[in-house]
Amino acid sequence: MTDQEIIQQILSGQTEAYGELIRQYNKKVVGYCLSMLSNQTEAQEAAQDIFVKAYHSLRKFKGNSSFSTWLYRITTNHCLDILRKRTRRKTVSLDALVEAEGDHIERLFAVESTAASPLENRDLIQKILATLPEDYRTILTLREADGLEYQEIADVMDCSLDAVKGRLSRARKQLQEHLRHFLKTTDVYTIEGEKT
Amino acid sequence: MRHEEIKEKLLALYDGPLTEKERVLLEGHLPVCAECRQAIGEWKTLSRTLFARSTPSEASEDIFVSRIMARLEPSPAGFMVPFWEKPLGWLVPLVGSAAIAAWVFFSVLPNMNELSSSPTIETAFSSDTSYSSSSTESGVMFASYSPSTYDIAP
Repeated sequence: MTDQEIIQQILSGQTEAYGELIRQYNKKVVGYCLSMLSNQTEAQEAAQDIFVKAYHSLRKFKGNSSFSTWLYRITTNHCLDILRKRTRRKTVSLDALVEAEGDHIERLFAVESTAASPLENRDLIQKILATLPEDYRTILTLREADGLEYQEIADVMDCSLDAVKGRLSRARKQLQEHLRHFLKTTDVYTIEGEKT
Repeated sequence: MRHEEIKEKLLALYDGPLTEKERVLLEGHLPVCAECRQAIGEWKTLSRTLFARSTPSEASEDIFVSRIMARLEPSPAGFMVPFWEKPLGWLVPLVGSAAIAAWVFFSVLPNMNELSSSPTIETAFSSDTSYSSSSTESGVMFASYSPSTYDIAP
């Protein structure tokens, strides 16, 4: 059943069908919130609020974009609202984090290279992502974690395709420049099936 | 294309949105350029490490879904479409106003004419009662009544 068909069911009174949409998108929404908010508990709560908000706004969904794009837009706005409310919270620069947690970061990427789960280092990953400006964090999460196409990102972030390209390039450059010396890269031509 | 330009487009190759010509050019360049291969390899490692997603267990997913569903309204009342958003919903106030105007025109106005041509309270009662009217500052007419022969004697 397509998202649109599920939505029609919900709007015609079968509200329990919304559970299906939640199951379909919960991983993406929670993951996105986690990347944005860098806090597991806050991300879970935010994701719940987002699904409730989306439910109440379902009537306004006209189907001009896909449901996922619409949901990502709600998620982005909700997370940015939370981030704006917590502006007083002290943020650490990536330089300072690298200096303070250099050994830990080195182990993080070493673990990755031996194919162990990088999720064990979630706290550190969240700290690294929290050092990025909001728009860099948003665009990198949408592209790298959720695999959205440039046009979809432009729709979610309500900006032009060129803005997406520019911002994505700058965001990657910032991360790469700060973390380059921790990376033990493998030549892309030696990883089977990795070449794109 | 210069090496720097190629380097700029490297991650676009990784993302996919390239023309066939650009793709061929970059794919031809990568095997001969260790620096570009390293750059793309670095980014892949970073991306896999920082943006990996965990898969929630079925149990935690059930809890998550049930928590949200418990917060939703049980009835679809929330989805009642206001009349102005329904197709031709704008007609509702228009028809309503027209009905009121018609009622005023056909029912109220003719009676007003009758009222204006019928004897006033003052003239109707002037023979047997003594009314005197006075105008207040606000323009409202008050009638003062004095008993007459029609009054029932105690």
